[in-house]
Amino acid sequence: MRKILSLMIVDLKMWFRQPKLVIMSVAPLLILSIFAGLFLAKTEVLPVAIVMEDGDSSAIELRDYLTNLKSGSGALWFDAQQDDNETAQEKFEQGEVLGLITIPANLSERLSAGETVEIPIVINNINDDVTKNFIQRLQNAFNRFNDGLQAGGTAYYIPTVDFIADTTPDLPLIQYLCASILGLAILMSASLAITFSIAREFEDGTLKELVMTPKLFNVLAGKFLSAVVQAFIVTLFILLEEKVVFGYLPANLLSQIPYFFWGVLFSVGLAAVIAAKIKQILPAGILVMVINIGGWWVSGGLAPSEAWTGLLRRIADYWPGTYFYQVYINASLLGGVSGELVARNLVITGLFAAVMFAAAYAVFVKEVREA
Amino acid sequence: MRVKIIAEIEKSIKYWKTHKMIALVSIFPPLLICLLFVGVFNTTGIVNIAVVNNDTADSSSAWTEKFLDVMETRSGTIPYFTLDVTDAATAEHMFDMHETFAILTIPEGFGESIAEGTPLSLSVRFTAAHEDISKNVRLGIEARIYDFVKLYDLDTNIRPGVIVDAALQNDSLPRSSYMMAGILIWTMVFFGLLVGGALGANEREEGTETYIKMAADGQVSSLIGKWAASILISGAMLIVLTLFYMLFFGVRFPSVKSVLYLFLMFFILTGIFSLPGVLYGRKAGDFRLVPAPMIILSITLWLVSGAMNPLEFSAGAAVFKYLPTASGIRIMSYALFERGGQFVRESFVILAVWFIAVFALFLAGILLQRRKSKKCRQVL
Repeated sequence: MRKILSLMIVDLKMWFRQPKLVIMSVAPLLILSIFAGLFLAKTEVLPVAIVMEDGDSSAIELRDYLTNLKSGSGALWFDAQQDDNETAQEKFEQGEVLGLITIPANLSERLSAGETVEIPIVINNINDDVTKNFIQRLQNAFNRFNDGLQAGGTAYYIPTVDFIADTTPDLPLIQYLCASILGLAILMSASLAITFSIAREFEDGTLKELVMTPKLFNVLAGKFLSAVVQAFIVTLFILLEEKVVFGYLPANLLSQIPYFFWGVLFSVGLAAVIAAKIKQILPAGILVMVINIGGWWVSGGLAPSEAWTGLLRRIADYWPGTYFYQVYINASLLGGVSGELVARNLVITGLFAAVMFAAAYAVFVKEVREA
Repeated sequence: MRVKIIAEIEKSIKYWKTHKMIALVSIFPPLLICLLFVGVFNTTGIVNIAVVNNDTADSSSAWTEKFLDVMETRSGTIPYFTLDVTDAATAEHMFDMHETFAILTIPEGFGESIAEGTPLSLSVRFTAAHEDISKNVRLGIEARIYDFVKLYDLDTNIRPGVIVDAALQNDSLPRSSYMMAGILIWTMVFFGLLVGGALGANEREEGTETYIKMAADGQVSSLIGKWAASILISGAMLIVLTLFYMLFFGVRFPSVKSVLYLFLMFFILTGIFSLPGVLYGRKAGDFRLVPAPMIILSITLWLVSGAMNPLEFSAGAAVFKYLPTASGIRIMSYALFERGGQFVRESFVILAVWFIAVFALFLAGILLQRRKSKKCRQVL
């Protein structure tokens, strides 16, 4: 045990003495976190101009529905500005607003007469996604407005939905991104640590000496423990950054510990195979980084992989990382997931890890002998 | 000097031809970006939800069936729903195992209540861990209810209400297609930086840096030659990749003018970015140190320049619109899809300023270097 610990300390000292390696471990995660948080997590608040042809009470009510409509997480759907027709047209032409809604005159009177009133909306169809959001948000507002309207002494209702979420209010996207990036921090920092540690021995030509030790297991265990400590430091750093910058903390901090070990065990095997095969710190490190970030993306880094269809979904289904992220992200956000899901995903990722550990050991021994 | 520059260009092209791995490394990231970014936005239109239908009595089920038909329609706005009609226990299991995003429960007597004009409430249990998914579930179901009300007029044929009468200013354009304008611009920037970096690094890698330094005007002509070679090589690679984008990601050039815009953007942007690429490569002296920072820099610029959504509706647009990449994306979006015509003039001005600034800095750098070496010679 003492040998393992001293090897771990030597390995850690090497890591700290090489700022290039520390930067490689931390910088991509930091950049991803900051940029995903600042640029991808923003809810699309759609700028729209509303023109009211008169000050009718129903028109005011409809305008207020549009202005105050919010998402489940409390974000406004529209950045609505009431303007006269000329100003609104000008703003629309200049691209300052994406849509132009005109609420026609005498709305109350027309509705009381039982009329179905068309509300003209011109949309700058920048792309179909923006247009879809536009139309759905309007339909949502119109559903609420239409429910319970009265005409000729009769009230007209429409079906309503009780939305029951597994957490209230709906979590803003930044929370999801923080959880997924923290998952990536666990996997990537552990795999980079083991990659640097193994590839450096090949680069420095110090493997022969290491292999001459009576127990190769001690060497590998020392490197593994060093990787655990490095991954812990990097993950903790990213967690602190997310707390400070985005106010994110996982729902159950204690449960992060088993997930951390799960992630480390899952990720180091493949990284060790790559390091032993490539034998150079930089190319091996870059490849491990690309695999981790690509895997994170496919496995649900930005959105749950269950949402994908087609080729991307198939890749996600076959990539074992998906099963780690699925449990980790949901448990971090919701406080827990079903035991059956944990068990299934643990078996899938555990099998992958076991195969990779065996492969890493075999490749490492083979490459050392050939070196 | 002209001869030296031409020789440097020829040498750089030869270097590129003999180092096929570097060419492969250059082409791999754009393909990955397309698969990951565009692929993601290309595939999220269909959501499966579990339906627990407690309204199975004959007297009631007619309206309920009509409602479920509307829920499954493949017209109107996405997401489209695929319904898994099942019992409550199975639905719960599916939800726990993340096989469905939501459970729609239809209460007993729902159809009858619709016929009577006082619809019972439906309930939807869903996961709110991801804002886009919860938004899609909430708004998607609301949109289907809107369609249902509009189609069936419920218990009367004339009912009061407001409906959407939408007119689109532009033709339909899927978001994944829209993003391709940004991908083209990113590819130009990335190639400029990466090819420039690779060529810049090769002198030290091959041990010929000293010869360059020893020759009169060697460094300047080498820099100009590598800069020009970077643009030429990037151009050849961009043509290959553009064909690939056309074949697999549906990029279409609507007119000859749009192709000219592509070449113009390439010339300006690759011209701007290959110079710092070469300078960085010379400083690093090792190709292995080139790809990672170039990928990070180019993707960062791309993301803040309106890669995902129109720049004017993105965070920090007031500042980021002055980036050359942002102007490039706006011009390319206009060329390919005729979107954002009002920003074209401003974008061209910004690009021109950047281009002139880079050239001016470059010339100033050369003049300073010459003056320095002249002084050195005088001292000697």
